[in-house]
Amino acid sequence: MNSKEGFLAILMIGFLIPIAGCESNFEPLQENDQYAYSVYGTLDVYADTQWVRVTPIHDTFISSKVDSNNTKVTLTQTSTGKTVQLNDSLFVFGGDAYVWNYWTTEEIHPKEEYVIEAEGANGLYSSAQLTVPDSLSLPLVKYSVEENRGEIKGSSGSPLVRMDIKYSIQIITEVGTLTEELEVVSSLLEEINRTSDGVYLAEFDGEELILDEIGHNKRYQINKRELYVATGSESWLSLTDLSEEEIMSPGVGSNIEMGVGHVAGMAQRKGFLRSCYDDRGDLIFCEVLTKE
Amino acid sequence: MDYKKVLCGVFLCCVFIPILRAQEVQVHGIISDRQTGNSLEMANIILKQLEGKTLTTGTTTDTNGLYEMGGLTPGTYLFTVRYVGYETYTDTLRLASNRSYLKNIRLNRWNESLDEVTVSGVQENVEVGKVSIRPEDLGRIPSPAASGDLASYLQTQPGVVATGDRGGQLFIRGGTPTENLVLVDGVQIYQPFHILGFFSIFPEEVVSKVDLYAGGFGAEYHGRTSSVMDIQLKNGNLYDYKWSASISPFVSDVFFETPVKEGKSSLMISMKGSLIEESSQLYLDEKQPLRFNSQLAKYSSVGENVNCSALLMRTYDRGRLDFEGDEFFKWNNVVAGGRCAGVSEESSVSFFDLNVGFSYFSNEAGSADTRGRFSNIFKSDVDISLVQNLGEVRLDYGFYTDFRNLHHDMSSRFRATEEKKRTFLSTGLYVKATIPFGNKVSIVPGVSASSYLGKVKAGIEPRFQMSWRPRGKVNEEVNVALGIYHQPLVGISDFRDAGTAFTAWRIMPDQERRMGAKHAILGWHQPIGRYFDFSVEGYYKQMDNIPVAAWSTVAQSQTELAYAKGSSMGTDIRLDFDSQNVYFGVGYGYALTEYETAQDHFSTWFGTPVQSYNPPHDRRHKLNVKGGFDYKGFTANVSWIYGSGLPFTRPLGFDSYFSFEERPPEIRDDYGDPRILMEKPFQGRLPEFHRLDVSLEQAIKVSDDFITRLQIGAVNAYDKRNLFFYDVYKQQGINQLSFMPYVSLKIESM
Repeated sequence: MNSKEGFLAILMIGFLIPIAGCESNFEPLQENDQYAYSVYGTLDVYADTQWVRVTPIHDTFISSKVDSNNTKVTLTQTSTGKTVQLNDSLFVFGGDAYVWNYWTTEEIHPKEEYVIEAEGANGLYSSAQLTVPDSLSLPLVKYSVEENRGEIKGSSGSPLVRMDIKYSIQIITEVGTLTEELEVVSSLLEEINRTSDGVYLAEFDGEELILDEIGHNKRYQINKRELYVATGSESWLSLTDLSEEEIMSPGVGSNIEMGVGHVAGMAQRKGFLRSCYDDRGDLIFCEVLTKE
Repeated sequence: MDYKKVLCGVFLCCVFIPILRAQEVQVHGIISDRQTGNSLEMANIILKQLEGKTLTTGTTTDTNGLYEMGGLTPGTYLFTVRYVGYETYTDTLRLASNRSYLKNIRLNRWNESLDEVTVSGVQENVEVGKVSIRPEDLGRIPSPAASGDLASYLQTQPGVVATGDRGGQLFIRGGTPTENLVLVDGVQIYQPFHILGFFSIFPEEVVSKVDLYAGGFGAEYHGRTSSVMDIQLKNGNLYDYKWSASISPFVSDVFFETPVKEGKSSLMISMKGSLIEESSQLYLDEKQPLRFNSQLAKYSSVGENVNCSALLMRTYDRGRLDFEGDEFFKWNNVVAGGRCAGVSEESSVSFFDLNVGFSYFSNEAGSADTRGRFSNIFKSDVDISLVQNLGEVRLDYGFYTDFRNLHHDMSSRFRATEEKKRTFLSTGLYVKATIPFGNKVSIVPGVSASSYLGKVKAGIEPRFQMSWRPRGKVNEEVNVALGIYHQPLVGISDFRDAGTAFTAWRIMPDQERRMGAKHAILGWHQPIGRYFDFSVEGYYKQMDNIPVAAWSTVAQSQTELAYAKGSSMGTDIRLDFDSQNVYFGVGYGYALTEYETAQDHFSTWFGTPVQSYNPPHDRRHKLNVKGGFDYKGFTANVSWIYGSGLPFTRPLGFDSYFSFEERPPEIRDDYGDPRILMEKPFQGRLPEFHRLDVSLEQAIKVSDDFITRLQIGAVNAYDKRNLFFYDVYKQQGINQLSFMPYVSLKIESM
């Protein structure tokens, strides 16, 4: 290697050395000035306590931050202007996922408009406006305890957003013992026929619903039979015919200003199934029991 | 008259007008290496008339080592063949009128003793879009092994993007890995790169030369829309038994070559196996769960006029790209091929090349608790290429037919791909003419036609290349290339998060679509003095029907396919200095790649169904500086690579989502579904990447029979934390290799 080649070699190394040690900052999250809070929940005409999830949009996939940012959540009835502040309650799921749920025992009135506002100490703000549906009468049910099948009949001017049969059962093992009690919940929303005058009808086969859930070769005993029926306001989140990607879109069905999520009004009734017979011993429609 | 008829008319005129010129004496033949029989490209052939007008004429050999000199007058000539690193051959030829002479020459290398022959200076067959890579080039790039490797070398090239140092995925000028055609002695291999990105099945010992066409390739190549890597393997030594064995913390390999019948036939075997999985536990903080091995054998028979060879290769790769994750990738190749190529004195065909090949590739991905994805492809093909000289016009033409069997099962990943097994037969032909206009201008019109027996639309792909040598000097050229390219099969990969190495090969799911590209390249190549070499190329690629993973925010779940159209434009600039003992090179690549795709749910998320974005391999700037020197038995090599950040999709934040389907949410009992609130696709950029690799080697002659080469080096010498990809679900950056020192030892026979 002659002197010229040596000079070139040194020049090359000298060029590369200053490069070492250069580090650049990496910010994986886009600055978020669109969404402050994620707000989910319902205001139920018939509930004793109203619960609403209000969590700041977080910067981790699972929310492990327990700080609520001193968020104040209020509920205002638009017609009266009455505002109440909701109480906060920290919930933990799976040991490391924390969320803030807010609650109030304030009575919710049918057909009224409400505004929920969330405001954090650091200026975060989101709000939702919703209308509560009309009150809901308990439906009539013709149900055979022996055959575990029946029909449900009722009427409502508002959209039905829930019709669940919920069984508390125990599976009978091969040696005749009972397992721990478990719940089988089946939605009948797809089975409902509605008429133009607001009457709705649904039939169900409880045996099939349970066996579909626990397996068709199993024996079981039913301890409790519950019926849930709910109507929602006209703006109830409807996801029919949407793809999974569309459903997950923050803008789809959201009624949260400066945030994501959905808060809806509803009227939900709960009853216990029973069998009613006429004088001739035939099954007839009757009101479900409101108490067990 | 449509454009195809015009094109044919122009083509025929261009071909036949020069043919009408008078034909006189012709000399042709193949120049090859005496030791191996490998053809030598760009050898200089000079004919000097010794009587009468003392005319001197010259030419160079093509990629097959073929030369052809026509239009000669009868007489006595001094015939000289020169090639850098080889002894000059001279002979006297007496040429009679109206005859064609066949003159094959096998050149001797200069010095076959301890010191390797150092090839220096400019030695390249200039074609726009093409980089010719020699074995000694591979050895000049530090790689954590005792030998250079094609994979390490390619990553230093402008226009070539590797998303990380594992996965074995190379993107060339905006094209994805599945749009690159890789040929080994004429047989296709689907994934030649190992899971650890420094290595391929091609260490420098087995390579004779590599032609990398980053675009604008000629009509002889078909079936791919982005690039071609045409790898010619070395033949085994016809006279001497040679071997080598090496070990490093990353890999060990064994190579040997031997004559089977002295001077007539030879065998070459190369085997390689990874050690990184075991060694990383001993001296690194983190275990590297990467394993690979490969085996290659080539038998060569060298005849007077015809050379034949048989090839057998196998590769196996397995590993995890995210070392802490549980998703694994696994693939293997099996390749077999046979080839005969040569010249004939009698026939009007100057050169023929017959190939038979079989290539099988399978790959899978999965984890302990998710259903795996699986795909394989088998291809058998027969093709023949012919060269015929018609006056001053060189005509290259050929035919091919191939059969493919495809099988995939990835229904858990891509809902739109319902098909499981398909067979696929295709046939085609090509023709191209090299037409000189004086010694300064030549044009190469060509066309490739393919038929897929109804399963994919047949295609006619016109190609055109032109070169202008302003001063009539070899290597000092301005070049243009234009072409239309189609790809009947598509390789589907989900590059959304870059952390993938799985590809499902299949016919385009929507048969009305056909993946295609149009290339336009303008290049200038200029030697500067004796040692410097400068080139600049600008390119533009327009791409249609690129299958891309549908945009989704759903974590690790199924997705759909969508189609994109795209473009890639950029500039590659190279400046190299190459003297006998010192070399230095700088390469810069600018690239702008854009995709545009229409997907229904874009309207929901962003208000419009069409989104434009830079795909995750859009490395806008790439700079490479490399250099090295030999001094008193020491060889030092340095390579520094810089790449600007790659695109990724940034989250705005996260929440837990509740569906109101079926029933109201139970917020007291349920956390909800974790959800990513996404920005538009690929709007963010990962941090820039740069890495310095160094090596220092000393050759020690142990005895008259063998020498040892001891090398110390380091990958990522200044320990830059280079991000491989960012997992938005885990919110975790997956880094590339940190500072990794190594020592390698190689023992080889003299």
